[in-house]
Amino acid sequence: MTAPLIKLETVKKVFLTDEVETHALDNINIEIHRGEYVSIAGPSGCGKSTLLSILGLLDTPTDGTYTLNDQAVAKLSLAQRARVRNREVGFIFQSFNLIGDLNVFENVELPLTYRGMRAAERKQRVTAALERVGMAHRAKHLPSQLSGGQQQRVAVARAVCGEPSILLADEPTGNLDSKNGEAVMDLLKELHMSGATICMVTHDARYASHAARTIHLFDGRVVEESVAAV
Amino acid sequence: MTGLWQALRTVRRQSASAAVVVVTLAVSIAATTIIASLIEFLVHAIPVADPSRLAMVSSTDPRPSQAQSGMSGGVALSGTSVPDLVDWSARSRTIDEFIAFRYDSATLRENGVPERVRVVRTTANLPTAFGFQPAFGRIFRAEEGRAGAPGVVLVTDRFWRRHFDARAGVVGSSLILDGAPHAVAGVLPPALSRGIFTDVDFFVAAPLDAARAARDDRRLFVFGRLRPGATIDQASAELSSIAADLRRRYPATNAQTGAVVRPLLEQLGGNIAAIVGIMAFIAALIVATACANVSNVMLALGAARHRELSIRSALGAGRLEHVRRLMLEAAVLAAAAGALGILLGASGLDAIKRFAGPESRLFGGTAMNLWVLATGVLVSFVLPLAFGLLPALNVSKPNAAELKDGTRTIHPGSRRLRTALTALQVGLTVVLMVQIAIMGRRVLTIGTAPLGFDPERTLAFTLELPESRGLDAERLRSFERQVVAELEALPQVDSASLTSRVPMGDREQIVPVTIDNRPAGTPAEMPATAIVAAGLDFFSTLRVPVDEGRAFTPADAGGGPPAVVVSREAARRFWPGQSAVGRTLTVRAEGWPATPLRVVGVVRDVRPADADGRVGPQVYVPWSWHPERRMRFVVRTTADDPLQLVPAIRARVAMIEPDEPIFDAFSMKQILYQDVASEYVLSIVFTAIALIALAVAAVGVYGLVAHNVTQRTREIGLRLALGAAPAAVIRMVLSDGTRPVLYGGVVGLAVAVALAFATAATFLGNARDPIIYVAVVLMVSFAALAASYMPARRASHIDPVEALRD
Repeated sequence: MTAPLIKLETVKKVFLTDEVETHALDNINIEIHRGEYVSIAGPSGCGKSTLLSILGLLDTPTDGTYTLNDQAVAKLSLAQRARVRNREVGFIFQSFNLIGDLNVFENVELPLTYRGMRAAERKQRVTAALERVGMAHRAKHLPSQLSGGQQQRVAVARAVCGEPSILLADEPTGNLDSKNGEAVMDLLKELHMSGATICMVTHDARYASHAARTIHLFDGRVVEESVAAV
Repeated sequence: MTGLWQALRTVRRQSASAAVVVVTLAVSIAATTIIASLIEFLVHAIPVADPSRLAMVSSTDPRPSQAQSGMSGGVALSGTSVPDLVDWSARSRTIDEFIAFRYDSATLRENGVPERVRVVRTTANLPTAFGFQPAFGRIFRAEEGRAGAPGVVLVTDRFWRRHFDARAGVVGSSLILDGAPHAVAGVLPPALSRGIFTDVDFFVAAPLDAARAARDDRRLFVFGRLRPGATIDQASAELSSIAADLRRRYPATNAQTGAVVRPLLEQLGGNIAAIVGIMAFIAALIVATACANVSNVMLALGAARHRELSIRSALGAGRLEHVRRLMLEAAVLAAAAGALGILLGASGLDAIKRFAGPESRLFGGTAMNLWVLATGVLVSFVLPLAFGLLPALNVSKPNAAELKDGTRTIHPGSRRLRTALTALQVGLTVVLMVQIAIMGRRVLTIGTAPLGFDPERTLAFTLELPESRGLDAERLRSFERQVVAELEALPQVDSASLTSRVPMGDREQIVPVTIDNRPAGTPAEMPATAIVAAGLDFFSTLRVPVDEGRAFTPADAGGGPPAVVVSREAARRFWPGQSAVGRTLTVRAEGWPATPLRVVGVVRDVRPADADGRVGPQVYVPWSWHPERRMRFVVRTTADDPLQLVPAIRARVAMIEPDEPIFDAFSMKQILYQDVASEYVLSIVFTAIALIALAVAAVGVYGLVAHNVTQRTREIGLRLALGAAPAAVIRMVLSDGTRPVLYGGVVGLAVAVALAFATAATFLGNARDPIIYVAVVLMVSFAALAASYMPARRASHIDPVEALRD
C-alpha cells in the first residue's frame, strides 16, 4: 500500500481567547490517499472548518503531526507554509472569494504568479483550466458580471490550474441554488474521475454522499468514518 | 438640533479618526495664523493711518553695501542726505510734501544722571502725514521744525510707561536732551510703538539744515505725499531726472546716486510685496495639504458607511440629506480644529517671540490680534466646504448593490479619489519643502560665510561726545588713549581698540579713491572702497589676520606720515597680480584729507552687514588720523559672556566722561545674529512648518495604505491562502503607498522647480542647487515608505482563516 498523501496523527487544536481555552480538535487521526474523494461532515461547531484550515496549512496544530506528500508540515514557518500551500493545495470556498478588481483570467492566474512561472506557461495553464470548467469564453469578464454558479466554476479553475496535490472545498455549494450546486458537484466529480484528490467539508447529506468516504466529527473528535455505498 | 446631536455622536464613535482630522486641521490653522500675524505685522509695520497718497522716496546706489531699505531692481535703496532732499523738495512738481526722519540716539539727563535714549529726528510734518493722534497733548506744529526753534519732543507710549511710570502731567514738562532743553508736547499712542518705530523713545522735531549737512551723509528715510493726479511712476521719473542733474552738479558726492519713488510698503525692503505674497502662498499650501489629508480620512470613513447610507437611502433619505449630515459632521470637526488651532497658534507665536528675543524687530511686533483671529476663524469655517464636500458628494451616491452580498473587495471609485488626494498632498508638500529649503539654504550660506574676524568673547559699545564740547582732533586722540588704557586695565580684558565702523554692525562708508599716480578720471570713473578708521590694536583685538606687511604701530597713531592697511579684495582689485605693500592711494571724498596714503599691510577681508557674503574692497586708516566724536569701541575679553563686563566698563568710562554714558553695548555674536536674525528665525519657523506638512502628508499616506489594507483584508487573506509569501503581500501593499507618492512627487517637483526659479530673485536664493531637490525627494520618499511599511507589515500577518470567515 502506498503512503497516504495526507496523514494526521494525534492532532490537537486549542484556541486561547481571554484566558479561555477552546478545544476545537482533539486526537485527530486521519489518512487521505492520493485519488480519494473524502468528505468531512458534522454539526455546526464540531471543528470541520478548523480541520480544513489545518489540512490547507492555513493554521497549525497545537499538538500532533501532519505529513503532506511525505513532508512534515506541522511546524513550518509562515513563508514555508505559504510555499507548500501554493504548490500542494487548491482551495474552493463557499463564497467563491474571487477578487473583484481582477477579471476571470487574472483571478485564475493568481496562484501561478506566486510561483514565479513564466507568462507563456501561465497563460497556457489558465486557458486549459478555464476550458475544463467551461468558462474560457468569459475570461475577460469581471466577477460581478457572472452568476454565482459561474463564479464558483471560476474558483474551481483557480484551484486546479496549479495542479495541486489536493483540492480542499469548504461548503462549495453553500451559496448556490440547487441547480448550480448540482453543477458544481458534477464538476468536482469529473475532476475526481480525472484523478484529483478531493477533501470536502459539507453538512449537506446529499452532497456528502458524492464522496467515497465520509469522516464524521463531533465536538472536535472523529466519531465515525463511513464508506459510501457503491 | 437633533442633526447636530447625531453628528456629535457619530464623531465620538469615530474618535480615533476624528482626532486625526482635528489635529491635522488644528496644526494647519495654527501655522496659518502664525503666518497671518507675520503678514499683518509687515503690512502695518509703517503705522500710517491713510497710506493712499504716501509713497516711499529713496536715493539709490549700485553698491549693495549701501542698502538701507534693501534692494529693488538690482540697486540698493540707500538713505538720503539733507542737501539732496532739499533739492528734491524745491524742484519736484509731483510730490506735494516730503517727510523725512532718521534714527539716532541722544543723552537724556535727569537729576544729573545721564541715560542714552533712542530717538527719531524728524521733520515736523511726520505726525500729521502719518495720521498720528496723540494719546495726550498735541503733535508738532509746523514752526517747530525750523532752524532755531526751541526743542520739542513727542514721547512714545513705551518710554512713557518705562521711564515715567505712565505718569500724567508729563506733557508740558521739560527734558534735557544732549544738553539742551526740550519741551514734551505730547505722548503718542501704543499703536505707534511697533513696526519701524518699535524701540523708539522720542520723536524730536529737527530742522533740515542743508548748509551744515554733508551731501554724502545719507541717513534719512524719506516719504512723499503725491500731488493729486500724480502717480508713483511719474514721481519716480521726475526724481530720477533731478538725481541725474545732481550727479552732474556734485560729482564728488553724487556720482553713483539716483532716486526712486516706490509704494510705501517697500520701505521695509524692495521685495516686500513678493515676500508677503509668498508667505500667503505658503499658508495656502499648508491649508490645502491639510484639507487633502482630511478629505482622504473623510472618504475612508464615508466608504466604511456606504452600507449605512444605502440603508438610509432605501428608507427614503435623499442625497441632499446625506450631504447635509456629512457636512454637519465636518463642521463639528472644523469647529473643534479651529478652537484648538487658534490656541496652538497663539502659543506658537509666543514661543517664537521668546526664541527670537525681545530685540527682534520682526517677531517682537507680531501679535494674535483681531485680524489674525478673524483669519483663523474664517479658515475654520471655509474648511468644511473644502474638505467635507468632496467626500460627502462621493459617499452619498446611492448604491443599492451595497445591500447585497458581493464579491467586490474595494469600491474602485473611492480608491482612485483617495489616491489622487494623497498624490495632491505629496505634491503640495514637495512644493512647500523646496521653497522653504531654498530660503533655509540661503540663511545657512550667509551664516557660514567666513567673517574675517573672531567674534568670540568680544563686545562693542558706543560713546559719542557732543559737538557742543568743541573738541579738536588732538583732544579726541587724547580722550581715546585714556579710554583704551582704562579698558585694558580692567580684569578679564585682553585688549581694546576703537573703530568708526563695527564689522557686521554698521553700514559701510564708501568713498572714491585714486590709486598711485594713475589718472583720476571723473568721479563716476574713480574706484570706490569702504573706509574704516581703526584704532592701534583694532586688528589684534578683533583677530583679523594680517596676510602681508604689518598692522598699525604707535608711529602711525601719532599723526605722522599717513599709513593705510588694505583688505585682500582691495589689493586684488587695485593692484592685481602685485603686492599692495608700499603702494599708495588717496581718498577723494568731502571731509577727508587728499593726502597720499602709503599701504603698509594687507589683512583678511571682513564681511560687512547685509552683503550676503559678497565683500568689496576695504581700506583702514589710523583712527588718530581721522578722529570722530562718535566712537565705537571693541573689547576682547576672557569672559565667556563678554556682556558681564558692561557695568564695569560703564563705570570706568564714566570716571573719564561723566556726562555721556556708553550705549549700544552688544557682544559681537549678538551683532552677528542680528544681521540674519529675522531671516534665521523665519527660516526655522518655516522649516518647522515644512516638517509638519511632511508629517501630515506621511499620515495621509499611512491612512491611505492602512485603509486599503482594511478594505482588502479579505482579498489579502485570500492571496495568502493561495500561497502568496508575506514579502509579496508587503510589496503589494507598499505599492499602494508609493504610487500616489510617485505621481504627486513628480508633478510636485516640476512645479517646485518652476516656482523656485520664479522666486529666486525675491529670496536671493539659489534655485540651481541640486542638493535641495535631492534632499526633498529623499525625505518625502523615506517618509512615505516609513508610513506605508507599518500597515504593509500588518497586512502580511493577516490570518487568512479570520479574513476569509463568512
